[in-house]
Amino acid sequence: MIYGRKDLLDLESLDAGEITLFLDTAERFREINEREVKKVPTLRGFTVVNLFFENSTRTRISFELAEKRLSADIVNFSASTSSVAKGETLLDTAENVLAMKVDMLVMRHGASGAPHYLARNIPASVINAGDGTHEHPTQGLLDLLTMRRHLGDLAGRRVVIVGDILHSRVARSNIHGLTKLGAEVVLCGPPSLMPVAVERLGVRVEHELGAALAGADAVNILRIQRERQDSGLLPSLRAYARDWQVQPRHLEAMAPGGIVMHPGPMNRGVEIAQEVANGPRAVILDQVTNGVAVRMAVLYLLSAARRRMSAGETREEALAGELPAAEPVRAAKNTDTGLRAESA
Amino acid sequence: MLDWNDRCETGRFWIANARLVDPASESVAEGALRVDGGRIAGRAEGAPPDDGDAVLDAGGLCLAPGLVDMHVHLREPGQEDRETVATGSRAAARGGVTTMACMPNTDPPVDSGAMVRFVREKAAAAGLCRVLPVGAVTLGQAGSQLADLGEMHEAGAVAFSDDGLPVADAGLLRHAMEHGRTWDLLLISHAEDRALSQGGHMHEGAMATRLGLKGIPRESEDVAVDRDLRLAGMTGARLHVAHVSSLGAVDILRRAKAAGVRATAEVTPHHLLLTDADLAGYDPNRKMNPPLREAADQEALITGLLDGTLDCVATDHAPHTEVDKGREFAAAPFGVTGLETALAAVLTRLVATGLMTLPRALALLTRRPAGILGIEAGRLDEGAPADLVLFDPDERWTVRGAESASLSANTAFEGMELAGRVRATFLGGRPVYLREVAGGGAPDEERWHPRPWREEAARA
Repeated sequence: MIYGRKDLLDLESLDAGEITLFLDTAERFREINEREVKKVPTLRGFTVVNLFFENSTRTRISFELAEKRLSADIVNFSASTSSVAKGETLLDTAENVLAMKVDMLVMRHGASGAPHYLARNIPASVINAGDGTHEHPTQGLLDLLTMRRHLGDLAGRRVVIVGDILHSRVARSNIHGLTKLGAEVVLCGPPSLMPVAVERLGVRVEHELGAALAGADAVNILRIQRERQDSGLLPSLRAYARDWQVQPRHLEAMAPGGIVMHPGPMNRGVEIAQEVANGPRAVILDQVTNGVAVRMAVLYLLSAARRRMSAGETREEALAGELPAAEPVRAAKNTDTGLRAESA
Repeated sequence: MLDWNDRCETGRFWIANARLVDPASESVAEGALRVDGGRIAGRAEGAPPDDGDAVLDAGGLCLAPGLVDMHVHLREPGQEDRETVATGSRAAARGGVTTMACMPNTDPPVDSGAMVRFVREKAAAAGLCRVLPVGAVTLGQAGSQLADLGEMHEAGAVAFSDDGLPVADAGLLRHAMEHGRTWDLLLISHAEDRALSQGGHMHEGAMATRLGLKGIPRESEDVAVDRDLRLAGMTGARLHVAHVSSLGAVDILRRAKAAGVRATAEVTPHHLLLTDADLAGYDPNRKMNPPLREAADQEALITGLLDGTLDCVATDHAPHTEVDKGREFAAAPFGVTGLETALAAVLTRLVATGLMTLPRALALLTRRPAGILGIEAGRLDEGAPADLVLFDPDERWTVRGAESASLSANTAFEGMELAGRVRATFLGGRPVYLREVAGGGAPDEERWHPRPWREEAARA
């Protein structure tokens, strides 16, 4: 099976087969990461630019390691959104980078939909490393991989996401990924941080933390930012912690073997109690480990698609050659070169 | 063979073999219309009498009063890279619009008699469309000090609004309404409670949740519509609510009208054709304020048009440059163009679907807004100004912003196929826009014939 798209922009537009392909491929790269020599020549000759318009340490480092272990040539480009506001448009910035002959862009941007906009307008592959409050698909995939490794098949499993759902791109990618793999998703947090009509994404909302966690197989605890207090969405972080901090007593009601996750960085003592962060159910560092493998898988599958298509195969031929008939990859709209942007 | 422009030179002519669409009597009749001295001078059933005047053969197309668009942004002065009075007038003529009211949120804003005269003189020099400036309610549209409404009224302002910005201070709006009663002025409300809408980019609902964009709730519109209608009821002022988009606002308007408030309201073509579901691709050319809402809102808007709660259709034509619109959704400004697509949008959405008869739908674009503005337009009666539009209701065409006569290309209907297209626009009895008609014009050839007039300083 192959990945048949130019970009990875979100999990919402993927189907279960594509998500599973990323996870299965990541398992293979996990093995490579356990070796003494953690390097393969897969992306030799490929140039990847990490284009970060928002500060990020762990996501960028995780991508950087993934790229290096695949032997790609990499450049890091950090541009604060304010410098863009001074004049240069996003497209100009990207086109300047691409003029140096770049194959892929890993992009973090503060505006929801910014990578979609770029992907439509440039020939390079775009990997969304987090866009505004929309999605963070590689985080979603690494969360899924972590859950699958600990819980097995995710169909029918109950996963609770706790915290600031409204502003969380991690939550949206988790919701789409989990529901596509058949898991039951429960959202928990203060009503002021719950998006309008979120039930229409196929999830259940439970405001009371104890009730939400009863019988849960996994809990993913989101970071609470201080600015939610300043903007009046919360009285204070202390008030949040009183009702929604995950504490050891909440974990007792979870299903046996239930796990605790956090995308980081943690505010210990705010959204997560110290004992929970350090407790036996926590798989938070596993998530970080899996993150590198997932990003290697994403880079590999996207580069494979590019190689096939630049070798002159049409997308149709590429699909016909490698695709098992039982698991169709959703065909993209352009069938000539396959390298043009899909219209979202 | 002379083209229509040359054959109308005497100012006396017949437009024959036309389907005369009269929004006043809500009738359609085959016949001919006589034009003399810039006014409609009578009509004939069937062929016109042979009286020696030129006869233009309309080829069976529809002839109706020119459109009246009571909500456009012409961007001059100050934002001439987006639109000017002249380019906006070209777009108007191409869309069959013969009268438009332009909003005062220019740079600087139109908040004095001198500014009103400036815009009118620009329109006279362009000579393609009647332009009626709307004056600002507050100085500089800053929302703190009442502008000199009387002076602007004297200079020809047709209505007053801080459009683009709501008048946040209810007390000040009350005083504006009271002050305006001296001349029974029309106030136009951009109804939005900024405390509820601030920072939003699209309608607040499931789609905004999916896209991860901050929402603009219906209630930011509803509470402002309610407030403004209550103040209109209190002061007895005439209030027109611009770009109604939410189902709640339709209900509030229906009740206020039943209670006797002197209120009217408009809806835009884009709110009739599109919903927030059309934002899946984060297209900044579908970003406007108020935002595209849900299917239930759209149904309420159509119901409101059918039962008379909503009085007319106006475009909120808001040009923006490709640079400003060509960025990520959250960073792009609000607004879409509309002058060239209004007729086709209304015909496609309301007539082709069987919701309304052709003359009734046209009333929304002609007689109704003319009535609200108190101008003698929107009629086919003898003596009315010969501002006319000739159109083919069945011609299907694909909207392309790049082909627009406006300086800007930010149409929300890009790539959509609409039915109904303008062939000729007459202003004061002279053709100002011709396409593919008379005189062997090549297919799709378009011509504008500006007729500049001298604008008197005094009120027209």
